[in-house]
Formats: sequence, structure tokens, C-alpha cells
Amino acid sequence: MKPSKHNQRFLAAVLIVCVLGVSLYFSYFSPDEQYIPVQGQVGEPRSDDVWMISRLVAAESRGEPFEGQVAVAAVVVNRVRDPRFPGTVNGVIYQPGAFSPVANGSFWRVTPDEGHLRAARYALNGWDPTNGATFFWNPATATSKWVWGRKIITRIGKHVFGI
Amino acid sequence: MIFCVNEVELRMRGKNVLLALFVLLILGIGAWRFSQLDQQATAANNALEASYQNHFFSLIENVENLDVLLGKVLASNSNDHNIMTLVTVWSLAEAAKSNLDNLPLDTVNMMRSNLYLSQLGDYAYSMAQALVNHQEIPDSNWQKIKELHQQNRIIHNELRNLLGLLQDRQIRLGSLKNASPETKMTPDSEELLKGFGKLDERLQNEVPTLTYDGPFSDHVVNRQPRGLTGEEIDEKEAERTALEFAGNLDTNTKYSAKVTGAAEGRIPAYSVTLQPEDKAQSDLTLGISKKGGHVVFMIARGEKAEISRVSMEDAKKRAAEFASKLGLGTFMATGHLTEGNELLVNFALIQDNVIIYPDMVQVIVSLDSGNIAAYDANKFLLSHTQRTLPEPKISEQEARARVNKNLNIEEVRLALIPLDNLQEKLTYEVKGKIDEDTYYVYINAETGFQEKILLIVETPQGSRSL
Repeated sequence: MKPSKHNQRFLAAVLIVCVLGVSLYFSYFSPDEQYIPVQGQVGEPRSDDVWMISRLVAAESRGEPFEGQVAVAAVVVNRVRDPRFPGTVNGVIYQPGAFSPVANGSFWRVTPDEGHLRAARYALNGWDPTNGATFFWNPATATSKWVWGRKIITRIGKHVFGI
Repeated sequence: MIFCVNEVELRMRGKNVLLALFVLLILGIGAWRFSQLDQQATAANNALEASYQNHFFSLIENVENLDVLLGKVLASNSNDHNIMTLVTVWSLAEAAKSNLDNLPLDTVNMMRSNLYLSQLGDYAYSMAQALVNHQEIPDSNWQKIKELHQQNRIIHNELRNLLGLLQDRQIRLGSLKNASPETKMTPDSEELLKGFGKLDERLQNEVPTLTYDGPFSDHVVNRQPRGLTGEEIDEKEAERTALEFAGNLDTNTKYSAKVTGAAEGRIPAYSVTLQPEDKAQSDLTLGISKKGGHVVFMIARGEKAEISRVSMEDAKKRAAEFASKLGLGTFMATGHLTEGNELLVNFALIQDNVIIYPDMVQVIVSLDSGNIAAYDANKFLLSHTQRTLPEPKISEQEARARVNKNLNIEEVRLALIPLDNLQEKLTYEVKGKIDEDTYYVYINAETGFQEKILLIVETPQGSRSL
């Protein structure tokens, strides 16, 4: 059988439908949304607090100066020591709604670099550029209403820190 | 010819049918996939809701049991029983707090309830400890338990009301989560959320401040710095102090200083940024206290740690030299840790040959460049004060006799140690070994009681005390 005009049109139609179908399929099945909360491997112990905090720092403080990254890490450490918050690093980070990277999943996608790990270690060892802050938020994107009722104690980079 | 046309028509019709079937197939796959994802989402939502409800019901159960236990403490006359009950109160209060922390209540302030549960457990624990030590419990402490009991009743009743609301209106706890503008909260979930907020507000009005011998006591949480001596300084003086401090870093670099902000909080301080003339050096960020112009911390922004060019011994020497130039007194290195190609050294103040552990500063040396990468004096500024040290009432020989017989004593020296309640005790620090493990035992130099015992865990990074 010779390929006719109709045959070609038919093939074109099938091709278009296939492309549409596959793209429809993948729009529902985006691999990006199927993150698996596994911990990474940069030579740090897996369940270690440093690793846990550094991931939050990596997700929360992209483009922040180093002291701003230490500040974000220090908020986690300050919460652990504060009786009004959970008493462990895991408890603080996974508290429902406490940090947006855990809610939107970026927490599990980031790979902390040496700087993030260093920031986490500094905060765990006592460094605290915020002077005791237990809250931080980005004034441009903060969604929670009551967080604005907190007393602001400092600003570092694009974050506001409060108690 | 006719036959030919028919054949073309037939073929076209067949193809149309095929095309239609194909489109149907694709739509079918799409619909099937969609329903499957929908089912998955529903299952995940239900699992989350189950976890929330699990925590909610456990919270009520734990608070209910706390009610019973606190009542028993007040009714019992047996110290031994009370020790058991108070320790159980501690563990149940911790569990209740964990339940509360796992509920999706981020849009409402539940901090007072959290504080209440932390302090209740902590208070019960410190009372149990006092009973173990056969200390006299003043009546005011039992009165405090009575007040805590009443507040627990309030929480219990409010939680019961909220449970009723949840069950009557069939509200899902998951609907309390921080709602985005697209997903508005239903009036029912808003009412439930308000109920939680009301519970917290009631506690705010009822709970008095609690001062006792535990780490969460109000006097510990709200401690004021003792080491902030001197006059208020202005930004110019803060910049000058920062430059002076940078002179001790031995980097042979000229810096230009600029106040870039300020932080309130426990030690109100100016943030000063030092920019080096030599671009190969890194920017320094310092906190300079507004009162007295003390350096609270220093962080070098760009210290990269790649290869170790500096030996451990040299780095330790570097840190010790730096600490001696601080002008805060004589320091002794009490511990070190290597992490990420940086060496952290802890220094404690020495006064009259006694180690003053509360007055600590920390120094980090980069093993790459040998530069001081960071410095922190937070602990020092919080606790340092002119102290008159008491004379020890027991001798070193007596202290040696007080420790466990299996401990091979290596070193004994006098040390002032901080307790959880911020009190400071003069002790004999007895360092010794049992087999391969090193322990530090602290014997009160006045009473001879063992105040504290630390196990030193040697890791490749350094030693950690537990």
C-alpha cells in the first residue's frame, strides 16, 4: 500500500493526540511533586541536628549574607531552648506550619552546601546575631497574621527577626 | 472507478473510527489517572487527619491523667509516693506538650499553653528532686501545685468543650491549617480555632510567674545580663571598638567600619560590618553592645574551609593568643572541637586559680587560613561579675574520698560551676577514668555532695561532654 494524503493526515492527527495525551499525563504526574523526605549524604550523620538545621537554612535563606544564615539557624536553636516551643530540633522544624519550606516541600529538595552547614554549626555552638529571636519572617511574603504582632528585634538581609 | 471511490470512503471511515477510539482511549487514561491521584490525595489527607486526631485525643487523655495525679500529690502524705507521682507528672506533661505541638495550630497563638505544660513538668521534676534530696518543701511550693492543678482543670474543661464542637459539627482538624486566600476557612473551623485561642488567653490571665530550681523557671528564661558594665555608647564608638577588636586579629589588614543595624533583645547591640582593604580577606560582622561597648560576637563572612594548611597545635596556639588579648582576664582552654575544617576552642575564665565555668568565650580558627573565623562572648556577658569566691570547707583529700572507688583519679582542681537554676557552686572538679572512659565529677566544696557528673565522649572531632 502506498502512503496516500489521507494516510499522512491520519498519522499527523495520531501524533498530535499522542503528544497532547502524554503532556496531559505528565501534568498530573509531575515528578517534582513526588518528593521523598529522605535525608542526604554530605558526610554528616543522617539524623544529626547540624544536617537538619542546615537544610532549613538552605531552603529559607537563599542569597542571604552568612550572618543572616546563622541568624535563621539561631532561631531554631533559640526555640529548642524556649519552653514555649518543642524541646528538640526535629520537634521545632516539623511543628505543623512552623516553617514554609516544610509545608511546600523545598526542605526535602535542597542540598546544603558547606556554608549552610557552617551556619548551622555556629548557631548550635551558641552564635546568635539575632540576640535571642524566636521568630523570623520575610515582610514581603509572610502569610500568618499574628506573626506581625511579635516584637521586632532586628533585621538581617531580607528577614525580620522577632520575639 | 466506483469501486475505487468506495474503497477510499471506506478507508476514511475506518480511520475516523480509529481516531475516535484513540481519542477516547487517551481521555480514558487521563480520567483513570485523575481518579487515582484523587484517591491518593484523599488517603493522604485522611492519614494526616488521623494523626492530628490521635494527638488531639492523646492530649485530652494526658491532661485528664495530669488532673488525677496532681490531685493525688496534694492528698498524699507519703514522700516516696509523691516522688513517683511527680516524676509521672513530668513525663505526662512532656507528652501533652508534644501532642499540642503536633496539632495544626500555626494561625493561633498557643505559646502560653506550651509554656504552662513545660513549666508544669519542670516544676514537678524539680520538686521530686528536692524530695529525693530530703529537702524541706516549703508550704508555698504545695500552694503552687494547687494553682497548677486548677489551671490544668481549666485546660481540661476547655479541651472537652472543643472536643464537643469537633464532634457535633464534624470538623476536620486539618481544616485549621494556615488557609491560603484561595481556600477560605469554614465558619465551623474558625470557631474551633477561636476556641483554642481562648484557651490560651485564659491561661495568660491565670498563670502566675513561676520561680523555682529548674531550667524553665521564669527567672532563668528572663535572665538579665550581668556583665554589661559601662556607659551607653553611640554608633561612632561602636565602629571604633570594632576596629580596635580587628587589630587583635593579626591579619595585617586595614578595615573600614560601618554600623549596618542594631539588634534589641537580651544584649542590645549595634551590628558593625568591617570591610577589608585587602579583598582577599573576608568581611567581618560584629555585634557591639550598646551598653559598655563590649564585643558580643564576631563572624567572618567568607572564611572558606577547603584544605587544612594549619596544624592543630598552631591553631590552638592562635586561639589562645587571641583570647589573651581580649582584655577580659586570664582564660584557660577547656575543650575543643574540629568541624568542617575549623577548630572551635572553649575558654573559661580563671580567677584565684579557680576555673569559672559560667564565664566562657568561644573562638573559632580556620584551619585553612589560620585566621580567627569567629568569636562569641554571649555566655561571658550574661554571667560575668566581680565575684568573691568562698573558701572551700572540705579539703581536696576529702573530695577525693567522696568519688566512686572505681574512678582512677587523674586530676583535681577547684571550679565554679553553674547549676540549672543559675546558682553558682564552688566545687572540686575530679577528673578520672573508669577503663577507657573519662569522667568529670563535681563535688560541692562546701557540703561534699556530688553536684554533677559528666561523661567525656572522645570523637574524631574532639571531646564532647554529656
